[in-house]
Amino acid sequence: MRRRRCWVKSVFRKSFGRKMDMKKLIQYFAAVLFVFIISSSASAETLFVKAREAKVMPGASFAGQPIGKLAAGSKVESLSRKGSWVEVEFEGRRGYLAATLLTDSPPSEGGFFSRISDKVQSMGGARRRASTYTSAAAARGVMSFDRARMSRQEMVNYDALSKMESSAPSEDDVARFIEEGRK
Amino acid sequence: MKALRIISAISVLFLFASCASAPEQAWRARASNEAERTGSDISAEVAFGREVASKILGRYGIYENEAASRYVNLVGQSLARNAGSPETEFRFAILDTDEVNAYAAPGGYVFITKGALKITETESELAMVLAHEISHVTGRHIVKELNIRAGDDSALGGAARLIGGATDTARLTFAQAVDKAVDMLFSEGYKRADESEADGNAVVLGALSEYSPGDFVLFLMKADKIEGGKTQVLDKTHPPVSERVGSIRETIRAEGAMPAPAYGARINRFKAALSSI
Repeated sequence: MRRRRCWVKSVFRKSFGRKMDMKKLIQYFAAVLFVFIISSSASAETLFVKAREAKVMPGASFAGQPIGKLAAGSKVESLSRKGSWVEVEFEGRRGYLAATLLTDSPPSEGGFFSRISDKVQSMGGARRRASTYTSAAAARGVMSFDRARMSRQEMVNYDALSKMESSAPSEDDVARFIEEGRK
Repeated sequence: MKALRIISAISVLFLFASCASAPEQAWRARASNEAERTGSDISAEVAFGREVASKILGRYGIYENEAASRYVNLVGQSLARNAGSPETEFRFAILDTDEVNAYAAPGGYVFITKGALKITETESELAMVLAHEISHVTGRHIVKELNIRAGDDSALGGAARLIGGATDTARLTFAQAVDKAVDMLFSEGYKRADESEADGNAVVLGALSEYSPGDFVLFLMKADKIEGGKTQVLDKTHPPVSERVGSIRETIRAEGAMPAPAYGARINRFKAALSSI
């Protein structure tokens, strides 16, 4: 043990280029550890609200009345995490937001709600091409396993899918529906 | 020397305290992983989800009832606002079957069967069923299970090639991934942990949207009593109701999720929209 200590000392003597006793060595480690821990514990994480609206609760649960609301894209500093809730500072006091409504990625230029649906729609006529592809593949005479897969592909309904995709209500209708539901 | 010892002791205590907060760190790590999901990955998920959705619709067909369809859409969109997944464009439809079940495909395609609607008695029950399905989408349970990404080494490499004109092999890879997803929905079920996560997140989502999470328990208990094969797929693909109910109640208690007030407007519109089915 004694030999080991001497070895450590000799390494530090070489590193620091001067004589260093064990007391100073421990002092050095303690100081480094202390500074590291204090700096890491003090660094709150910046998070962003990724829902249309996030209620700020007085505690880490739904119990009680919200103390406020934050809009999509609002920046908050997380102070701690309690279960599925994140403690934040809100208007000079502590409040809690549901963790599912927060992200550490800032909103993109168009905001969180710039949809990617346009991109997806432009991908294709993917469904139309897949559909035509099925018959084209059959015409080419694919191998038997492939035909078996194709037979499963026949159980599709793209007309119903189109209907589903075009039946979404407008944002205003949804907002009205929510408001009316509180009466 | 005494001061040195105190500093050392405090440092060690802080070190232990920071180790004890490991779950928080894990959550941050998850958030970082989400950040790594590229726009191409999201587009790939939606393209993949569309194929899965078309198969769900191929099996059951869509239930043609404008009032009911619009109502389900409005309830679903109300929840989607609080789902914490702004990049997802959720869509809702009623499946034309008396089977009691609900499904979700990646990319935001959510379905409830006509049979399930028939046993719901309140808007809140309906909302909680949809919240469970939305949670499967936001949890990306199928996507993670099948490793759906836009990269060339995944099924969606096949998706990209399918869209751009594919080789037979690439097309098969994609078709197999779609079939696997369909098998998960109709016969194999999600992983138990994913079902449990969807139940837990549904409680939070329901409460955030001012619905009564406890009504999910009412729905599940009603479904559990149905006999005659209408819940065959539901029973086969989900953990036992008794197990789920206990876990849901525990989450409700832990989250302090109180029942929502019995708003008259909700009662009236529920009856108006769904009385004809």
